[in-house]
Amino acid sequence: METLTVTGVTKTFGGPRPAVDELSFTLGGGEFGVVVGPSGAGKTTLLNMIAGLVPPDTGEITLDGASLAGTAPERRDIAMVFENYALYPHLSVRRNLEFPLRAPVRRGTLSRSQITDRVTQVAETLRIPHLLDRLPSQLSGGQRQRVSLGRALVRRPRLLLLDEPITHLDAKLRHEMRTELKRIQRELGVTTLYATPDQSDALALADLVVVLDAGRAWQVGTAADVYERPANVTVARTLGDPRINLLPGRRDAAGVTVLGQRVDADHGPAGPVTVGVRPGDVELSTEPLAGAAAGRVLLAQTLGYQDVVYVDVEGATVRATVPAGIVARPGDPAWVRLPAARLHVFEAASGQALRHREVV
Amino acid sequence: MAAPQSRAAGGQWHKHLLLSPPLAFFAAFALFPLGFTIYVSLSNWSITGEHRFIGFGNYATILASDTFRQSFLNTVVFAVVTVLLQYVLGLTLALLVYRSTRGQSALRLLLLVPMMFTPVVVGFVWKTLFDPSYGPISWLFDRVGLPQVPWFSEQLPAMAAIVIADVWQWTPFMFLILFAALRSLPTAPLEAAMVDGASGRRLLFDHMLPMLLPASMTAILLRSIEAFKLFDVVYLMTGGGPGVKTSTVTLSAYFTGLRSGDLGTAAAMTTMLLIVVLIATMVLLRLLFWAGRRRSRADDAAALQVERDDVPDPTEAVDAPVTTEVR
Repeated sequence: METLTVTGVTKTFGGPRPAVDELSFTLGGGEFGVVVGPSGAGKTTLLNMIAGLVPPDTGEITLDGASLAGTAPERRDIAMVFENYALYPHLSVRRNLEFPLRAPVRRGTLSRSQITDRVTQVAETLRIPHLLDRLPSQLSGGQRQRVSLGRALVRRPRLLLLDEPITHLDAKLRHEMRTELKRIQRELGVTTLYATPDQSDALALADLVVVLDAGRAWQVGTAADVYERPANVTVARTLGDPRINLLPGRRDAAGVTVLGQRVDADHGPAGPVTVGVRPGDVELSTEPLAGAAAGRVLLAQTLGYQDVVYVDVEGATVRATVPAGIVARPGDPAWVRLPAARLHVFEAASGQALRHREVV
Repeated sequence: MAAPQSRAAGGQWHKHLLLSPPLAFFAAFALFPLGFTIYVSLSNWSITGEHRFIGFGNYATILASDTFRQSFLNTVVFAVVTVLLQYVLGLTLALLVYRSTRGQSALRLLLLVPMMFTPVVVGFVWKTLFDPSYGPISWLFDRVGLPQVPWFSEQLPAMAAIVIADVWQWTPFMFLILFAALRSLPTAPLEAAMVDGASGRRLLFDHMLPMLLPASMTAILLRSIEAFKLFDVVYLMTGGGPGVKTSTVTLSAYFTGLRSGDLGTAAAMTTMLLIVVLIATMVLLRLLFWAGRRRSRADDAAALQVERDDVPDPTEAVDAPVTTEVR
């Protein structure tokens, strides 16, 4: 149950901006942390710095209260699952799983039979005992992923790092593996940091979410925090699918004007604002509606259980989710109403949140 | 699969016609000389042109000859020793340059220089360096108080001098292939190994060397074929001497055929060498394929396995209940 702290960590590779910029967060012992952000956000760099593969320029990383600076990767007792699994191509699955236990750092701590037991045990947890004598090239993507996870778990590390472990699996397998990961992490109680570009991973798995973009942490908090109370536009944009609507508006002492409608949502000094509203909170009607802006349907996609309708309102595109089966054809007139209580309001220039949606 | 191939062979004769010019060249410059050499080796062809078919008489002669046996043994010793030394040194250099952070491109270029010399120059330079009376190496030995080594007048020192010259010239070849292979190794498994607790020597022996196996086998194969044909350096440095103590099969064939005019016997010698090189190459190729086939056969099996895995199991139509609490 080791606590991981990252304090003011910066890493520059010589590009115009740092790959990781003044990053700080604390992940409690046994917690599941998720670093979510688009590719190029600095997720892998962060994980590599924690693993010790890349030294940070400044800042400190501690595990269980002790600084990791100057400790070689092989002595950190941190396990990492790599994006492309990074199995040892010349070793069988069994030898891959045994490797961390036979490494020189741990020589003599486990007997031969203990190693066999551990490998059998982890193979059973991951449901791969029938694959032990194969080479990595004989495995499918999902199987490789399990072996890679097994290799990380077999030595019961102090910290488990997962670098986009399920990104390359197909959708069905991804959902299964996500559930499995959560189960295994709970069972073992190992502190885990998981990097992913997929916001649904973050919301489904995380005790702690770190929203990373362009090397900066835009918000650190629980899944509910970052989803319900995004601190800024970047966070609002990262989480939620379909994406949040971000619409230009104006605020003054009387309220907020958005899509040409006055909404009694927020008061304050006059100025431009960005209004955020989740597609599920948008009220969409094919009939004229009081206080609604008129527009035209651009496109409707069905997701099975609901439809996403794109409506053009005065040049802005509004995404609204509606129950499946409501017929909306491109070109149809549509009315869009933004309920005052459901709006996020961000300062236009800085993107900082001024007001959050009220949770019902 | 077989049908299109047999149709091509049977019906589409014009393909053969289009292929015939290169095939004619191949026949003229590879097959004919090979066949002719084998024929000459079975005759008592002398340089004056008179010849008669004598069966395996030349082979019996050379197998009974001490000179040939000595040359043959030397050839094998040279090949094994130089290729092994070149591999070890080439690998060491490749690893050192791979790990060096600065001046990599300059080092790479410098290390390739010996390979660019013609063997004649290499032989002459090293002959001069080792010269017992005015060579710098003898002078150096003298200065540091080491005994004088009779470099070209005793067998072992002479062989060592030849090995040194050949290793100096051809280590860069090994270096080049191994360095390129090192550069193209996937980094992720190596990083994974570091995180898993391997470092230094273990990383090298457990992970890098096995992953370098195909490139190593290729480099060793190419160098071995060349090494069996060692001629120019020996010719220049010792001329096979003292006596025939450092002679090789190629050198022996040269002296027998072009100096003594006994073309039949010389042809028998080169044919013997060809057979030996063929066998060595086949063994090495087999090893190379074995290293590669482990992987490719595995891929075939994996493809079949994936298909089988993907067949839905009707008993699993209902999702298995999640085993423990999941958020």
